[in-house]
Amino acid sequence: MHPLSQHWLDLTRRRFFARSASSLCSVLGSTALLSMHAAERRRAVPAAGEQPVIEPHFPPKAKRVIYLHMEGAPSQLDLFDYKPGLRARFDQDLPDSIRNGQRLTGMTSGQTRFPVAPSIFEFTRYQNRQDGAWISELMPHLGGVAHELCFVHSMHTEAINHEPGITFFQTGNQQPGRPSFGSWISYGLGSSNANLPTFVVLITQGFGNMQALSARFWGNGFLPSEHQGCKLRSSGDPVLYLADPPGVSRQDRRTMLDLATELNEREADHSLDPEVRARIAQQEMAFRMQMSVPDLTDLRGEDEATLALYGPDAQKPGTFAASCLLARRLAERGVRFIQLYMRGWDQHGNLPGEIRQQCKATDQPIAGLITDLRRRGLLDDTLILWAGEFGRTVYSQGTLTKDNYGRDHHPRCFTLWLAGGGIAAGTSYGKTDDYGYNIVDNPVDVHDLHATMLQLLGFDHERLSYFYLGRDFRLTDVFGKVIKPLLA
Amino acid sequence: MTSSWLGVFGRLHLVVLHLPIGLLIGAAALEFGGALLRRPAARGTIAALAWLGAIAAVTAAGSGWVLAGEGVYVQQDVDLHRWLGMAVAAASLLTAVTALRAGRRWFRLLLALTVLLLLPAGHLGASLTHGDAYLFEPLRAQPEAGTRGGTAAGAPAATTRGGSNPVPDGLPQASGAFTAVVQPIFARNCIGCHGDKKQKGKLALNTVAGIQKGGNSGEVLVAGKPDDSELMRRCLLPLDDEDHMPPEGKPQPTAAELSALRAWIAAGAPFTGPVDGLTPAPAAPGSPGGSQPPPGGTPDENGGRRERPDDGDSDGGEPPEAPAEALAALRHELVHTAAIAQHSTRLWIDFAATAPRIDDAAAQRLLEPVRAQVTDLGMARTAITDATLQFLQRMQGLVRLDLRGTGVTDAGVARLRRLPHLQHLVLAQTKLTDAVVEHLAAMPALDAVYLWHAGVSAEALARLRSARPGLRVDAGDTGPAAPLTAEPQVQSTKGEPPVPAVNATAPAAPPVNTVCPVSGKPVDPRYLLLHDGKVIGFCCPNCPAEFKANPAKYPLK
Repeated sequence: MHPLSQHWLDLTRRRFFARSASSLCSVLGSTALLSMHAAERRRAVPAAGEQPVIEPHFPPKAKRVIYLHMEGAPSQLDLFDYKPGLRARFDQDLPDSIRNGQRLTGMTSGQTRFPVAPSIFEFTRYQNRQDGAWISELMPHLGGVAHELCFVHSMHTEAINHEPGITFFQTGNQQPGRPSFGSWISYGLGSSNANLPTFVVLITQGFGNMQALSARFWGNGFLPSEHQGCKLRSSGDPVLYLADPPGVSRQDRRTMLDLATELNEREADHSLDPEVRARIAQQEMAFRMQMSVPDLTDLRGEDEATLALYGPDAQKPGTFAASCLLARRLAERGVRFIQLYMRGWDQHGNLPGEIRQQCKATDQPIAGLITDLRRRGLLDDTLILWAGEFGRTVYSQGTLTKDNYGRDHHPRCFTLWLAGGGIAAGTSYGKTDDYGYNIVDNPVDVHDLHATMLQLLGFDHERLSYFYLGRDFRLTDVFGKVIKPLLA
Repeated sequence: MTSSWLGVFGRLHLVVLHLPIGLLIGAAALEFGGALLRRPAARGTIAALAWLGAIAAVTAAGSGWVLAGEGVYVQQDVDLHRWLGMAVAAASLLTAVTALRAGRRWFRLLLALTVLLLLPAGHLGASLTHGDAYLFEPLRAQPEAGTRGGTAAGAPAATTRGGSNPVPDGLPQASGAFTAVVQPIFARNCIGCHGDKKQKGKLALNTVAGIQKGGNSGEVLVAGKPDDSELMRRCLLPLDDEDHMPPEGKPQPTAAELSALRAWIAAGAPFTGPVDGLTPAPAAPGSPGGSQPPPGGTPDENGGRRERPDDGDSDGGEPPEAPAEALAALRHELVHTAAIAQHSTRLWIDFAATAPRIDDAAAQRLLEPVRAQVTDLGMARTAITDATLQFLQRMQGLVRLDLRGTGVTDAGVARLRRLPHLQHLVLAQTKLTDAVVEHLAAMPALDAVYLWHAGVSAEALARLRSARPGLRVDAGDTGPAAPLTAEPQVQSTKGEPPVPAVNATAPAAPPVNTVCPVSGKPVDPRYLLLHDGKVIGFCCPNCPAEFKANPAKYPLK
């Protein structure tokens, strides 16, 4: 609903009844009016699962999203963008005609030369639904599910640094303050499990250079607060204070919450601040999560074979494998937007060593997640996105040796992949030049990616909007087009 | 800014026009009535009425002039009304000027003339907005109903807004889906403003030519592509969108009408001939002796929307709207309940939140009232058994069904054989046997079935795959994608090659070993490595890397 209409509705209905009824009551002493007032107030508490949703514009292909964000920007040249020709150009200078005056970060702008650093990793071509997908030896398990993946080799972004880069990917804008992708989905689709948050965030620490990860990446921006991402902790209890303190029964907790809700309702009636209602909704959610989260994180029902699918770390809290397993459990419980952050891909130096560790921690769990979702029949309506915030340069940052090099930020082209609901599985889209520096075919920008994903979730990206500061805002701002070849 | 305010002024015509009629007729009544009854009213009063009437007439004429310029109305009808209106304004001004003069002759003459001009001007104006036939329609409706016979009683009120319900030009005796289904939808919802009298946005939907031509926003139809068609897009916009059609506050097309329009456009928007899935609604006009209402079906007052208790969807139309209290009951139990999309009455229902608490009784109690609407049903991990499947066999509109991790058996699955639209069936983690294969093979619309950990043997799966080659059978038994080629060897031209020569050229020979040197497990022929001129096999994709890092540590056995 338009926030202004909501406000008017509040004014005309709730406030009118509250104010006029109470003043009338004092005059007439009418119990009938008093009870009407009370009924109005009770109804103001949103019943579970009754939050307003936009509903999809057309029947969606995907009901939920698992977004694997590789924070720090993994090197496309060492993972998916296969450039065999570079081997012959080891340590040659990158031609000016390729770089073409591209701006550099402060980290390499002082370098006197830009030597080409071919990947030291071997690539293997795996069967997919086209002529095969070249995948680095670092991701052997992912190669096994190549027929489920749709690679986009021609992504580009506007940002050249992590903070604006991630913000752009998460919110469709480099400036902070807009709602994140998951919040838009929560706002548009609502929850499909009233006992769990609609938008869940899981974070895994990486091995190398880690950039700051701030909570606003999963913030709700100007959308109502109940749409913000809920971060589950990676060690100890996933949610703090899940268990009631000794001596407090579930009924006591309920009674306490009812009183708090009544007070908050009174405040909401008085101030008309929508955030007070969000607060009520969140407290109710927390109460229900006391029951649903222990069931969510209890892995006793998982059989050995399934745990093995995710690799040896599947039961080690805080690992990426554990997050992937939890992501599957969240997906099958109807959580709409599950966002996994894997930190530590920012390999300015010592790339080969660090990327090996990063891949070892993520390769098998990701392939396991895809396989597990597939055989449970969940992959058909789950949309998976694997992406960093930009790519990395073909030239070496710092000294280039036979077995070591680093790579700087590169927004002009990078690779990501999608899988699952409605995606053209087993295909590749877009091409970069022989240096892996510029896009030569079918560029895709971040807005296009968002528009395409929204399409799969049942939304026309131009019509999913929220009225704020006097205008309608969209995830794709005033840009974006659906990339049809990515759709099945 | 100026022009938009001018537009507002133009639209005020519809309000202001009533004032001169009342005031001037009032002045005439006092003047002539007073004379007739020989009790003349005060001259000042009459003069005041005449002046007010003149001012109102000038305002009405001026605003009418602006409104006519918008080009919404048919030009020739407007022209006559416009000139009559100007004449009224002029005559009323002259009347007012003479009102306080000593002699009454000129005043009375002009006043009479004004009223005489006023009547036809007003009538023409009314015809423009409401249609020619508006005034006398109640008189005509009666005999017409009589000639149509019994069916007309339930006929949609297609004739009210556009005056008569015109047969489109060039289609004098055309038949087929357009005349029987689509045209009545336009007549009910559109041609009041996009018809022969008014063409808002220069769009006329009452003729074939007009439909093909489109309006100010271009063509309204893209044959075969409902989603790209302006007509469909406007109808599907949220109600509060400025561009939504019909505008907020006007009667809206029903979900069934929208799906019929969509089907018609998808079929290429033909103006003659039949369209698959578009049969004339029962009692729709223009289909004498047309299709019989289906068994159990009764036309309701909306015309075309049918209540069919035992068959939510077998003709591709939308089911009726689900009862609100049933939806509230589902949501109260924290069952996810949502329309599959805006403007659809079909439902996606998912028991994920409280799955373990949902047993047969609860499932049936909650689902019974929405049986006709459920299209996508998630019952994974619930405590249901075959009893619920027996119930589900009557849920004819079901397209997707998730029964993962439930207690269903072969006998229950056999109940689903009759579901005509079931495409996607998840039976993973259930206790079935090989016998289920025969039931699955018999399901008419099935295109994907999930049987991982469902107790179905490899032979039975093979049987199902050969019986239904188009069916996607996923039992988690297909294995990983095969590596096709490894990287060809490349020499670098400057400096040393970055790695000791890329040595994994696709080994064509069989491996020299049978057990993996790293793990000691049997060799999988997909994982090979060329090392020191020998092809070495491994058990998994991890071991080759391990081996290469330290070949000395793993001697071949």
